[in-house]
Amino acid sequence: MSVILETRQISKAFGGLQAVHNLSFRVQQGEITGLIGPNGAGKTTVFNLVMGTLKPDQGRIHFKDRDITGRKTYQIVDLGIARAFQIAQCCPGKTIFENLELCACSNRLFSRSKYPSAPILQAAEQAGLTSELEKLPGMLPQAGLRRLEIARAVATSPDLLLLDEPFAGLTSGEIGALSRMIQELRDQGMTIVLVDHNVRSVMRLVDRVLVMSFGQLIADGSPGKIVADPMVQQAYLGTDHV
Amino acid sequence: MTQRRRSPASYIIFGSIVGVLALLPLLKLLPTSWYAPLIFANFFAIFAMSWDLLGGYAGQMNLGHALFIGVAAYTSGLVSVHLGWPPWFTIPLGACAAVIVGALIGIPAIRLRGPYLALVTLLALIAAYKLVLIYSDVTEGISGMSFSPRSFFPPLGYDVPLAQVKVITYYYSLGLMTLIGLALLWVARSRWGAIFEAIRENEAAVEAAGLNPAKFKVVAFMVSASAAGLAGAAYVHLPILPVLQPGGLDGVLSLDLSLSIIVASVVGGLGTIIGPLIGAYVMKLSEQYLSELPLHVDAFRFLEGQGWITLLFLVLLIVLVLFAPKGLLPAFLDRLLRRQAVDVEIREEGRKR
Ligand SMILES: Nc1ncnc2c1ncn2[C@@H]1O[C@H](COP(=O)(O)OP(=O)(O)OP(=O)(O)O)[C@@H](O)[C@H]1O
Ligand SMILES: [Mg+2]
Repeated sequence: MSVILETRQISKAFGGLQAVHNLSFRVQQGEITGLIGPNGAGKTTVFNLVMGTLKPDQGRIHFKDRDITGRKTYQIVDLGIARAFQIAQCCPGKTIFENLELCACSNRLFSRSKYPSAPILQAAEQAGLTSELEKLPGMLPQAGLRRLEIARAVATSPDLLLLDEPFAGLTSGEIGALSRMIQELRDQGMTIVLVDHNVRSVMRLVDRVLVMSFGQLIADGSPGKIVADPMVQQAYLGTDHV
Repeated sequence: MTQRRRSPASYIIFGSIVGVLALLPLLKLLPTSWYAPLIFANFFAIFAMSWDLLGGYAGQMNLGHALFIGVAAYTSGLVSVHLGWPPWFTIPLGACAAVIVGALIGIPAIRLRGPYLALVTLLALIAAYKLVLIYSDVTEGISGMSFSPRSFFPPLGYDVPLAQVKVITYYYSLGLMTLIGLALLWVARSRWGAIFEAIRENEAAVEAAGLNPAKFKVVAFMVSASAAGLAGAAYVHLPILPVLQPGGLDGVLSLDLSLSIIVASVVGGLGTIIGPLIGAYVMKLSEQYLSELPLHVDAFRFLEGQGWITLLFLVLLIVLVLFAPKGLLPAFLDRLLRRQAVDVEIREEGRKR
């Protein structure tokens, strides 16, 4: 098993607030890695640093043995990382199909194959959006928008997929369906990092868990080991969560 | 897999408009006084369509579109008058100059949004206007430069009867409008057009999709400038318009021209290419109609002179922005042009999988 993503001592401060502090972790290829921690722990900031939305104050980020620190978002997406936002980042005036098409199309000015339809249709199929391709995003319910956001990320054909709170606001039925979708993506060979406050659902899905608190990594291990970790319980889980 | 992604409605409407315009002289329906305004309307339609690619599709608010027109017109005109180079060479040269200026304006647009970008485009236009005045020893300043028949394109000298010059020039301008219009329509419906629209709707989504918005913004500026520039350069070489001036009625660097391009586009409907095309003709033809009214009807005396008519259109624009921000084209037409259905074939392919 090889390491697909590695952060080395990354830090990010907002004014006086140290959102991420000397954070080093590794994500193994082909695994689903959970990244959990209390509100404001710095999880979204880590995603922003990996995606190039923010630049780290210190430290390096490596993806597939390549230093991607400081690269632009579109370059990082091109290299094979995609992120699904909690709030769908789509074009409201374009149909679902056109939104996915945009994600699959080449960044080159002149490209022979305009729209590779295979990744678009596959992403739509996996997200259960095949029958909604002609709809506008505004016509989808909350869960549908979440699926669209993940489908958009999947349509870029990533090797590493970052999911930020995909379960938030969904019913337990919808969470089950989305969990199956995430597993299916992993079975296809995609590596996934999953951030969510629904610890129970995260633990069921993941191979490994990283726990953050105040910008630092406080635990790293299998779900069973993490649940039993007293430090984690104190920092985050409490008794009513698990 | 072949995909018919967009309905052909745009092309059908475009073809019908060109067809009707091409028939007008043949059916002898045109009074001679209408040739000059119609010839200008053909160019104005190109200006509006090219503005739409940038403003309507990519959402880059360009208040100084006349900059591209004027830079091309002056490049072409100056080279033609001072160096004596032939128009078939100087017209493309002018268009190239416009593309360069387009790229230069596009670079600040990478960072600037909304009102800040609008301000830059406006200031750049005013700066170019001032430059023409400052270098009036070469440009002849506000009064403008005159051309000799050698610089005419189509090459019609003083010995050709005026009626004939008008008809030939009309068809030449209509041909140019058709070619550039089809090219713009094609770009707007291509992958580039889809990315331009996405930049307007949600730039973050474009980046997240792995596309570089900066690159495509600059491209939008360059394509728009090339179309406007080609038309602007061709315009000043017309045998019926022998003066190249920065401001005034035929001014190629005027704010009035920039604003009326926007008015026509908004009236027609942004982001459709066809809408601004229709808006341009409606505006120019009604302008001509209104300007002839005082000659026939005493009650419309007050319309004499262009000032009133411009004012009328500006008021119309304000009313329109308030009550029909999508433009005058009815909603169903907009649906035909932009909200095309995904091809049935794709849907079936999707079900099979
Ligand atoms: N752009 C920013 N500017 C200033 N402060 C920020 C910014 N982004 C995040 N922060 C702060 O950094 C800290 C970490 O935020 P972050 O969003 O990464 O936490 P999180 O772990 O994702 O929390 P949550 O679970 O609530 O989403 C928070 O205190 C937040 O207020
Ligand atoms: Mg967060």
